[in-house]
Amino acid sequence: MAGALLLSPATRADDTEAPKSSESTPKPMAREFGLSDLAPRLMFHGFADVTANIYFDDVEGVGKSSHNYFALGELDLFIVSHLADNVSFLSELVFESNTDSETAVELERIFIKYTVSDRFWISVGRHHTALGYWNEAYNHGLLLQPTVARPDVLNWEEHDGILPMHSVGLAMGGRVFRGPWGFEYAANIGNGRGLTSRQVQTAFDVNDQKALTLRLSASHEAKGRLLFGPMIHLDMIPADPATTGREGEESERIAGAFVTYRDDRFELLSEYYYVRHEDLLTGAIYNSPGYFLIGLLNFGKLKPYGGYDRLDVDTADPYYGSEITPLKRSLLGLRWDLNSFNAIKFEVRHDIRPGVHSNGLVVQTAFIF
Amino acid sequence: MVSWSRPRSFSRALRATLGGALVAAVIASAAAAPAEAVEDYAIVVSPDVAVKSISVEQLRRLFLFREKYWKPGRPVKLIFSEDDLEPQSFLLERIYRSDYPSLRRLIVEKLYQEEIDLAPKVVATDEVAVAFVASGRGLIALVRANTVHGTDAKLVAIDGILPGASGYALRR
Repeated sequence: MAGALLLSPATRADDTEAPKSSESTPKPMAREFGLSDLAPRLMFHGFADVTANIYFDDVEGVGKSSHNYFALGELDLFIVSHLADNVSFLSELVFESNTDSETAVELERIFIKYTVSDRFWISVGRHHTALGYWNEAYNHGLLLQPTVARPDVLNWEEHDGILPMHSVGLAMGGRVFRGPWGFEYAANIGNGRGLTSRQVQTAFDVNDQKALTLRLSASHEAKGRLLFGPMIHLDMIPADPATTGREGEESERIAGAFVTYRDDRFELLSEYYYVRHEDLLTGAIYNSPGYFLIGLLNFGKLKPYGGYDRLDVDTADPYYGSEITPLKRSLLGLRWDLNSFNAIKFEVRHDIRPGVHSNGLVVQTAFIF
Repeated sequence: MVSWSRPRSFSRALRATLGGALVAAVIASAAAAPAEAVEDYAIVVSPDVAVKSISVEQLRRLFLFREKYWKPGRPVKLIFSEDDLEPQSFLLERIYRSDYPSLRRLIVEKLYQEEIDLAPKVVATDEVAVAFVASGRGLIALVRANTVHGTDAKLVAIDGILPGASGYALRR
């Protein structure tokens, strides 16, 4: 089974694991592992996707129209490096084309991580914020997520998302197990929000107040695995005197919860977030809840799924601006896993935005390399 | 009469002989048939791992990369043998409850999710896995129990029961 070696394409024995003497080294072992490393071990992989879209829109006061197009998705390159038994490095670089067909590059994640034990690890750099399950489980890897697109409430900052998906600073976490139960915590202390919701403050913080995120979760493993927990995020959004309505600072408080369940036949994912912004100058309060529920059946290579996705963003909130609009989306799809590293997803959607109803058919091939 | 009786008695004798032989053959074959093939699988760890017994739940957590440290500063390192990765293998069926392609994707997922920073190593056979576990630190492997002989690798009980004993969990 030569293909089995592909499971660990970049592994080599290191000095901590090497047999005690060359005389005692079985020949197959020597052939498999070669000599000890003289440099850190590094793995390089990537995700990519291509999506075909057909949309039929019905715009109030304008009428019906349709449009279709192919879209290159993100080219996501990630590197993982083993520096020592307790020290690792990860970076994730994403190339993405926008609607003007210009390609932008963004460093999505980069951090060094120190792990003491299962109970405690700490890392410093740019991370995906510990919000719920989806943001850290699937990241930018569209192959990994069940649906074609992320739920609207989990859109990236630059894609009109309402949540702080990235955090620059410290991240820490740990877990313990008691029988079939597991308990986990994860936290971020970071620069927090910038002047607009699209900004991630990577090299500077406009104010000195740091954002704090804390997520707790519990898991139970029996026939399937249940994972659930709450989260909270606190931040102070700096004032932006150049923008009307943003003269004062806004306090940001986000509360949320998530639940996932997966067994051999069924998978469920659901997350809920409630964003509360308070303008400290005017006292105005803006509330923006959002949630999604996705269910998936597992028939081996074929996985039909369905879901509901809703975002009730407060359009009066000057921090989000007019580009972020409420959405109600129903979707049905079929995921076809051609092999371990490539899936094709067929999805139909019905979207309702203010003044616009649209039906879409999207087909996506997503893969890892 | 005689001419008929002899053939009848010959026929009866022949039938009796053949019947008896058939019954005897069936009994003999049943007696000679091996008992239903039962194989125990063993968990072996490196000599430095201070663990004598683990639960099936913990074993799954270790192989699914959820529990990743034996103790502070001592990471768990999995070794697979190619035998483990064959279709219908014990490891895939009973520990991962999955198939080989899904295991490969799991490894990449765990790398991407920062759960692991190295992919597990794969060796050619159970014997090599045992030799490697014996000579390394923090290593663990699942192997056929009959491949664990005269080695420094430590045999770990499952829920307090060792391979070969009644009630051992890793058996099929």
